[in-house]
Amino acid sequence: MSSTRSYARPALPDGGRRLAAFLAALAFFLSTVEYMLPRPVPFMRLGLANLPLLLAVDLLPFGSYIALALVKVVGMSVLTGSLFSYVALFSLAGTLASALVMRGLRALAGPRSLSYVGLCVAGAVSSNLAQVALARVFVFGDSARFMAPAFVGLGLASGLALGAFTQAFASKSAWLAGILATPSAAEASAGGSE
Amino acid sequence: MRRPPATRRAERRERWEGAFDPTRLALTGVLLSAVLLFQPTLYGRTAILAAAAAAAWASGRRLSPLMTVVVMAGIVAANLLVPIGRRLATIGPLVVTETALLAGLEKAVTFEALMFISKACLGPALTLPGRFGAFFGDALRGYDRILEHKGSVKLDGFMRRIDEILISVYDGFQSGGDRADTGYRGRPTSLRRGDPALAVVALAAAASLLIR
Amino acid sequence: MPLIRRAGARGGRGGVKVRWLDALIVALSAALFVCLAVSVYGGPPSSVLVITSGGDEWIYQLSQDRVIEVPGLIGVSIVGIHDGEAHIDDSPCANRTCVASQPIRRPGEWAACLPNGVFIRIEGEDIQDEFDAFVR
Repeated sequence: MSSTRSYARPALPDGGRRLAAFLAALAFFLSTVEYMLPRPVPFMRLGLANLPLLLAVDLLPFGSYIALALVKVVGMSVLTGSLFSYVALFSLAGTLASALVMRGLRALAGPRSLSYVGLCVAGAVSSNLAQVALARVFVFGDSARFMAPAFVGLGLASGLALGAFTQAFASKSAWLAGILATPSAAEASAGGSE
Repeated sequence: MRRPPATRRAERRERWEGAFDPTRLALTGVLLSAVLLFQPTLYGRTAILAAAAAAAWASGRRLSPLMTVVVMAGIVAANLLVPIGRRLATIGPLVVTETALLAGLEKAVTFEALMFISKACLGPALTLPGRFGAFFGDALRGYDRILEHKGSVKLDGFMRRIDEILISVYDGFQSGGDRADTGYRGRPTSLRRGDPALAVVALAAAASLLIR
Repeated sequence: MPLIRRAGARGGRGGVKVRWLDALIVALSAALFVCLAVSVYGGPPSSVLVITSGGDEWIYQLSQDRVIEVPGLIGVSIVGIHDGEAHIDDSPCANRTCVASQPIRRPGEWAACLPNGVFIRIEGEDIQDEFDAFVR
């Protein structure tokens, strides 16, 4: 019995550590792959690397979820060699804002009322808003407000695209189905299976 | 016959990574970033930018001068949008003002200098401390394994191929288990040949702050 | 996990089901976008203070408080911007009528210290103005 409010994540043996590390690895990989895809506009990124984090909203316990977000940002910064720069700072703020917003929304509504599309749009828009705010302070000054509408628009567009993609992927992925075959904490303690 | 640029860059990368201890290199980078941020003059920051760009080139990182120029121009242009200060020139509808221009230049120089410092001083060999570092190491290991399948990823059937890769790699993926290659990280590692140079650079940078 | 199983039960692909919170979030984001676009791009350009002295011109935003030193013919005049108003706060002239004059805030208003050759004026679009263009 699944209400739209209480939502059961799978009970993972190590508190999600293995899965979280793997999802981080996937994030690194997807961002590499994304560079291969054709990009119409340099600043317009699909943000494929956010797909694992999006899936993790429903898979990982909160601690591992935040660890995943942090490792994703720090890892990408180290790999691209930008850890000490403003870019990493913006990334960190954006990813954290997005992660918290998505998790918070899921705490309010289950998958029947809120799918990955809505989560992703909310995450993308809040991430971009956080980045515009920081860009105003550190890089662009007052004229950053000229970019605010564009960033929100981009967040909306890329959020829709990535959200739809993730939704489709989640429904077809055999890998994900395997992970979810682990009984959830609630079901396990109730003695039922599946 | 000259070796292709990519090979020369790879060789530079190897030489650079072999010359410095990753942790000391990263710490030098942190120090240089701090020095940059405390540097009051534009000339000083530009000097740091030039040195950092040279270091980033020597480190064999992939650089794009075009992107650097475009980004810097963009930052300056964005700052010029709100005119402040003495009018220097009028280009079409845009009024170039002194204070806005200097602010834009400073932000652009700082932005790119930080990037170059980062690129020169960071590398995948860097081991971060503690549980976070172990977690990061696990993620990197998984990344390496997934990367082996990169060639099979095509646009057609994209989702299914990614899924197949996930299934095949996840099964064998262990976290925290195989520490065979990492070794104990607590003991200070031996000095590499470039490390003394790091100390010199760090001292020089710190000293430059005192000279005003 | 309800999300996955339901889609699976439909045979894998599943139709596009619009969930109400998804639609709400998208609608709110679109509304935010429109509001920001209108407020940032739609309004008239904010007023600026233009200071002229000798052959030079200085431009400042009225929205930011500031104190500006302007070199002139006989010395340095001090121009202050406070709360969206500009005023010559100090000047090396003899009778100092410029300092005594009212602060200026609306486009078209101006003040000057004639002995020092310093002029300040507000440029911009005033909603009440008949004229919607200003000569630079």
